Amino acid sequence: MASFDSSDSETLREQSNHKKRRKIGHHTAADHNSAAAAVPWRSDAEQRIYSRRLVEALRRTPLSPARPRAAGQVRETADRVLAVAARGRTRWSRAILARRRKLWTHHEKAKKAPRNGLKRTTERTNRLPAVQKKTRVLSRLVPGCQKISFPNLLEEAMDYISALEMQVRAMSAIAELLSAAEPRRPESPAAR
Amino acid sequence: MENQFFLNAGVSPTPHPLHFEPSPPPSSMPSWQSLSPTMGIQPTVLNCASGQTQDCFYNPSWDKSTDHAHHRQFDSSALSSLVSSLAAASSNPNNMSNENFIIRELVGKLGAIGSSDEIPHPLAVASSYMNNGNSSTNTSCYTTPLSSPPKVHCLVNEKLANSGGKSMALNSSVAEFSTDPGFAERAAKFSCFGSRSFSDRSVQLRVNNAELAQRSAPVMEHGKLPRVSSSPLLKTLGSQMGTPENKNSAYQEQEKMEVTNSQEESTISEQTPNGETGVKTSQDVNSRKRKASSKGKAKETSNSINPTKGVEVSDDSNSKRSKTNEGEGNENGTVKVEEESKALDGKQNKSNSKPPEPPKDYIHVRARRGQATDSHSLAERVRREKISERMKLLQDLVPGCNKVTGKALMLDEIINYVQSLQRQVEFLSMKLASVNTRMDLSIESLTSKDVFQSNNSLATHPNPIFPLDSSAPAFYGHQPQQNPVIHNNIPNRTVSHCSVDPLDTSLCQNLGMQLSPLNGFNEGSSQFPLAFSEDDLNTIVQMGFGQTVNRKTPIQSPSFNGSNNVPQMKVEL
Repeated sequence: MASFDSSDSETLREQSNHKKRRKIGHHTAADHNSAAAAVPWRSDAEQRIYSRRLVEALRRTPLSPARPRAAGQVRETADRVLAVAARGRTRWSRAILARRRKLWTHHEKAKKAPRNGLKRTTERTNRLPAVQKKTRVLSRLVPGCQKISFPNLLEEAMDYISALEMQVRAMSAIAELLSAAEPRRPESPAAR
Repeated sequence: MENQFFLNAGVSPTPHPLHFEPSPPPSSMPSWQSLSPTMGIQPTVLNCASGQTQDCFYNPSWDKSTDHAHHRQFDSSALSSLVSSLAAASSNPNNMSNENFIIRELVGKLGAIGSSDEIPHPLAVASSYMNNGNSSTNTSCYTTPLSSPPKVHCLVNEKLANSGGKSMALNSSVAEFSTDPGFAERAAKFSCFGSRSFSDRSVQLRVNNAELAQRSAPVMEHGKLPRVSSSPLLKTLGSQMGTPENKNSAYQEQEKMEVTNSQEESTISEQTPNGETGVKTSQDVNSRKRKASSKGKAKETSNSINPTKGVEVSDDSNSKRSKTNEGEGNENGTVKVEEESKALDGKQNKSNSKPPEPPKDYIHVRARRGQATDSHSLAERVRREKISERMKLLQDLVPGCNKVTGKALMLDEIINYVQSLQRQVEFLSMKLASVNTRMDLSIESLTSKDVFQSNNSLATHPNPIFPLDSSAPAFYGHQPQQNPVIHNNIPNRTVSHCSVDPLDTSLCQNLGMQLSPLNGFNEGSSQFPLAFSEDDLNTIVQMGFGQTVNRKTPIQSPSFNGSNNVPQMKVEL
């Protein structure tokens, strides 16, 4: 696989359920990311790069036959490729990439922990002012942003929204092209 | 010769300090030499400086040996050369020790300039500075010019006071002072003016300091000036200056520092009328604004704090309005806060009158008119500004947020939008998954030649096919891995698709592109079925987005169908 670029190999590694070296180990960026980070998400080049990487990653994923699983896999792959494209400058991207690792190490243990305190936390949160409640909701939506300050949360949300928009654009384009290409295929076996 | 020096000095202000260097050297070099016999320290300093800066800068001049009888003119040029050397040295922020040398050199030179007939004095001054600690000598040097009424001494006094006051003021300010390209011009102007005007006000140190401060103010406007902490020297100098003078000058300097005179010439002109009324100028200063974005670097404790903060302003290197620091709140933030603020004279004077207050805060924010000025509210305001700024950006991102005002509603919108985006991604991933599975199933059909209904001929040539696909990734600059078969198919399949043209264009582009070796093909061949689809996807993706990129080469889609294409493509490869 010498021809594959590092990103491909990285996605390949990611998809293999082995412990992998984190490619993005260089980011020591603080949480205060510049707002300029949101801009690159809108560029065409970024979208193309993302689409390409996504396609390659999808190619390598061992797609399970079951639909929901496959969808989840695709989604995870897409998110991971998106996080890679963020180049580790944002918190959510690092959190997404860390997700998989956590799964390997913690597996199910981590999921059980928050369940106990749910009731209490909901009671407590009801007393909070509306803004804080919504802040909490937003922090849950944006991966890896549970305990950061409000302005940083806004910053992360900005970047995350731009990234998501790009992801949606790219994936919809891919899906559209693929589905457009689809109809012909059934014909070929028939033509055979 | 003298005219040249003046001209050089006059030219200096406009260019960047770094650019300033090349202009004076040719004529100022001889001045170095002329002074060197008088001031024995020079060669050492010059050596230091040259070691830092480009050696060629100074070395060739040393070869010339020109003796100049007139020290005065050369002094001005020496000043300019000094400044240039200092600028050159300061451009190298790492060599602080050298800058110390240079600063001392400059100070010494200043002394020398004023008293051409009293060379030993400046020499003594300079040497004392060099030794960095002969307080008696220094004070004596200072006192002698001060006490002497003659204009020569006044000039000396001015220069010395300026340099001393400046050194008193700030560590970094001295560096800035040195890098001030306009300084040489001012120096020239001073000498031009003849010390007549100086004698009027020269006796008072305050005035000198005010002028110095004013001069230093524009210096701070300069673009990132290195923070040279020549603190030890400066502190000693400052102490040597005498405490009473220090206080007064510090106050005035603080006030002057806040003057945002980006034009050095304007400061010079201002100095003459405003020199006498230090207080008046302070009020003028108050009306001006300065943006202060100190990151807590120059935390010079000693005498002057506000000037220190003013120096930190230099980071912005703007001639914009800047804000003086409140000097009170401890706001630790990295974001510069620009606020439209009207100067509150009372507040400013209050802050100016507290020089010993240590600068703990990093953001210098000026309270708005009629607003609370305590540290907490300031910090609150900064925080609120940050948040509102980000909310505004988010408003632009999230569609339909323009009408919404208020944090809660905005957050609602943002949450809804993020959720909708995530749902979309989920849906698309489902779609892709289904398409992928279908692709897998039908991929085998792709391998057969029959699949390429219109490109049978191409299908028979597996090898040429590869290059085609390899070009696709080359489009992105990645290694190609896909099969050209897809390319062939694409025109057929996508004929009905609206993206045919982009497809064709990009295909041609791909052909023209560099093709990677067939390494990928080997790999791709093993994954042939999948590879097809992915290659297809890739090319399709390219096509889809390829509107922006290469549309140069015209494409003949029928050409793809023919086998003759293959060799053509190969050739292009």
